[in-house]
Amino acid sequence: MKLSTVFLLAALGFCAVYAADVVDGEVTDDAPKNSQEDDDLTIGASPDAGLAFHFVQPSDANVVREFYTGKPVKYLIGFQNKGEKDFVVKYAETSFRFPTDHSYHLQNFTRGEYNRRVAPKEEVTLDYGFYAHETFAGRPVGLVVNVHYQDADGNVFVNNVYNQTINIMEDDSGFSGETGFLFIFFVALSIGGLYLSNQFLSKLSRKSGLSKRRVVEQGTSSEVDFEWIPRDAVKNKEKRSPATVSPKARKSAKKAD
Amino acid sequence: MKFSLFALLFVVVSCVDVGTQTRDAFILAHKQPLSTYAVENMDFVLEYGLYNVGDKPAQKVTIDDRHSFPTNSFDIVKGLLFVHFEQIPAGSNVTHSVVIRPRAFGFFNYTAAQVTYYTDNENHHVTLTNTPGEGYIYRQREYDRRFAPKYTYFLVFFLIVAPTTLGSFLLFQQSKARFPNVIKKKST
Repeated sequence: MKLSTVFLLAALGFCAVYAADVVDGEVTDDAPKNSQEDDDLTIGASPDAGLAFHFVQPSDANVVREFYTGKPVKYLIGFQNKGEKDFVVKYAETSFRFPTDHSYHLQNFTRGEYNRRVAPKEEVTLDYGFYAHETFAGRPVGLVVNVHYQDADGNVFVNNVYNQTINIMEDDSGFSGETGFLFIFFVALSIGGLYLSNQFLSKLSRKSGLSKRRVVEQGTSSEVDFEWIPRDAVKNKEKRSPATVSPKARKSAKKAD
Repeated sequence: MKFSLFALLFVVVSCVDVGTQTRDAFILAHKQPLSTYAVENMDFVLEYGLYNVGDKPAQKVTIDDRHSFPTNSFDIVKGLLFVHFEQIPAGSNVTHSVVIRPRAFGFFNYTAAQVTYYTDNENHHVTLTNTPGEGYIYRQREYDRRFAPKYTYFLVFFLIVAPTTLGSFLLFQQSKARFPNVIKKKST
């Protein structure tokens, strides 16, 4: 009997502690958040709409999933109304996403506004085009295309028509300014090198020529063109130094005398 | 037990089949001007592209664009605005081009062309192409001012410039002819 009362008391105490914990209010309000997320996800596709997607330019993008930067990328979206009510295709939004995390937007493109009414049992083709920027060259990105449309009752639907990782390649087919200027720079460098080497070589040859001349030089007296020198100046010179030979020669001549 | 396993396998296989089932022919139709400028009394090239993105061929495909180019404002130079193709196989495409000539200048709304096709000889489909939208048809004179070769302008320019260039050259020739001997002496 005593043991049973102890157990009962213990159980009561445990319950009280547990209740106190609950009353503390440490449990966060997770439930409403989840329901909100669910609300966001409820905008989906309509069962009466059939959509198709096709790249027109570049034509092999449907298979190889590659674009080139700086070249137009064009695609078509087909919308088929299989139901009994009109649909209005409002717009299509295109965006580049991070390839490993598609919730991270790298670039949002201008959305294509269509506002095309599609009667029951009819189809409509819509087109859109964009350029991939050079900064995306050589890396994969996630291309996501969503089509937003309404039915006659005003219900909004969103269809994802393309959601793939694509490779963006650098366009190296045409003339690129970078390589062009590199080429011009190299040409200029080689011309400069030629000029410098020519200069150096001519300097070398001139030096050797000078040394030779120094050895051979014997004065210019024999080659003087006297027509250019005034008469009196020539006479004065003759008076002052009649001998045109070098001082060494003169000395030797005196000795001989 | 074995039976239930088989049943499960069947369910799985049928689910996969739903995912990869063949789609009927689905034609995407594309209308696009190839000329950069639309000019009155000059050729304007339009291209229509049909892409069958379904898994089955599309039968008896027609393009009808007669309503978007009324003959009182457009001449059809080459090509047909109503074309018929017997079949477009799955995954292939067809392009068709037309040369037209606008008769008047001003804004013009390029609307959608209508494409019809059959899947399985029974289901008739009507598709509208994309709309290139509103475009401006240039006046001929405006276009010439920007792009035509300007021969008359050059001729007038040379006539205006003639007194100062040709006139001075003639004067120089006259004065040169007046002194033939002096020039000879100098050269010798």
